[in-house]
Amino acid sequence: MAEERIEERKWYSGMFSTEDWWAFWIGTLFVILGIIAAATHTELTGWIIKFNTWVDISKAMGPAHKGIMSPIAALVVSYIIFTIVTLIGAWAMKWKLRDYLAAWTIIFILTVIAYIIGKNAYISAPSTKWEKLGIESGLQLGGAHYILALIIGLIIGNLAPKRFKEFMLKGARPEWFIKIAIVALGAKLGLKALEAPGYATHLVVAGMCATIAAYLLYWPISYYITRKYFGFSREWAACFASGISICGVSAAIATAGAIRARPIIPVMISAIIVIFATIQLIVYPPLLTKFWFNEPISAGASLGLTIKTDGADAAAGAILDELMRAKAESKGIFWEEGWITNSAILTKIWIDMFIGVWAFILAVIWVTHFERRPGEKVPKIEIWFRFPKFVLGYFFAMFIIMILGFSGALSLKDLEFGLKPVEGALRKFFFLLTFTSIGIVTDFRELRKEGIGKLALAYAIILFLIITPLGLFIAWLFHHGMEPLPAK
Amino acid sequence: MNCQKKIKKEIVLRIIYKEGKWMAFNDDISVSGRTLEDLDIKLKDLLKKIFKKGTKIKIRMEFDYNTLPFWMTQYQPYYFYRIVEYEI
Repeated sequence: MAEERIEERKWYSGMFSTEDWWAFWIGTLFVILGIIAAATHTELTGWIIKFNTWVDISKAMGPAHKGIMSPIAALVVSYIIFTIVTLIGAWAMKWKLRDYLAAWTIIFILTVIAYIIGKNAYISAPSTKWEKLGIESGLQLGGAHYILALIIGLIIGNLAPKRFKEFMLKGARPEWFIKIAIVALGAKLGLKALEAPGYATHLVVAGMCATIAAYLLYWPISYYITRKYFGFSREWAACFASGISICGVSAAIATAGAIRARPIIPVMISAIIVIFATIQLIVYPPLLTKFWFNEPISAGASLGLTIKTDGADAAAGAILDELMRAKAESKGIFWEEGWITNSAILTKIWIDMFIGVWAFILAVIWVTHFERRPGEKVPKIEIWFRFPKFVLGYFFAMFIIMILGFSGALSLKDLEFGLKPVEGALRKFFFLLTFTSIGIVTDFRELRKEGIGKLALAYAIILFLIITPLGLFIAWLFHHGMEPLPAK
Repeated sequence: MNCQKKIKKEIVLRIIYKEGKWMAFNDDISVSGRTLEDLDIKLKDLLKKIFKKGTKIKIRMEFDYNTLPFWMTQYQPYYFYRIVEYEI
């Protein structure tokens, strides 16, 4: 039994002891640094390591602001600063610091290696850039660095000795890393909104509408099918329906908690969700690029509606962004980076935000109808407890930049000076850390465990035959005709 | 008119699920049950022995999130927080 003092939960509980809040703090810290840099024109963010497409390896990386330090110095400074901020979080969350530091350092190094190799011009450059890079042939594997990082992670997660894998899990925190990156992505949306406010607003509103439509269809259908055709009990069916319909592991845990289910239920469902999300992140982006190239934003939004963990969704969005833009460039069309990723993440963020409300509704239904327990009350503050706090960072970043830009307090040029390294270089690096980490936490051997077969079969059938087609349709319904803005 | 005020008490417990049973405990009390209903009944019986008749008790039970696998806790920061009110 735990020895620490048992305290009553307050509205601010978890503010310094959960990864969700620490994604908010760390992401917001870098956004604020970017704003101060914009206001003072100091190099508070220019040191962030940025990776480039390269032929000469000495140009593979460098600081986000060219010339302020050497590439190696930028890498070392980035390692030190990212390590310090995440270590402070790890310390506040009472993790074993030595273990986290060692595992994080290995993940950092592997991610840098994947980034450098994957960005080699012969591997990743589209043919339209060959002349500029001075090469005559290449594989044109856009997003190769993402896949390479994922493969490295999957090797550790599935083939490495169990003890080493267990050790690496102490630093592999894909949801934490992606949430930090998503806060930084809020800064990108803020900057873009200054240039194209109507387009950004349309994207946000369409994402919200699509989410509500998906919610209302996915959950009841999934619940009904698992009850009727797979014979799941109410508690299994509800957790399963939330996991596959809403936001994956997060929703399965939230629903299980709301209906007071035994913890083994979300544990088993979560193992399945993580495996399928990884399969989707590998398979969906190339398929969407091949068959739905004429609807790039719909394709991005569909990922948010069909891939059930934030990390895998954002990762798939990043790959789709690369593949779609590479294909567009081969046709002489040049789209700005990030809009497709943003469309994938926006739908997911809305889904994440509603989970608290949905879990509360389920809790009330369960306590009042299915499992009445005398004297039990469902406090409304549970909605807040389950609200994803990193989303606050995303919208804070977006709105503060819009306010500063539209009010004229800072010019777009100033804001870009301070924030480009955060919404660009930092975000992309944390995206790649997510890829490596997703690989490490995905263990396909889980499928061999007893009792998983039926669960996996139900998940596969509902995911591929119901959730995915519906997600594609709903994404198209609210986003059709939208394309990323042209590259500057 | 009886103006006697009922005594109000608050108890905070940690709750876990272990070996097929829910267990709720703090430094002073500990109860377990195969279901939450069972747990609540046993808890009420225990509290009857501790508090006077007529005492209103609010029990807050927070699930010990550290009992879930570490890899899962990054996805959702919280499991549940039960509030149960009794009058002995």
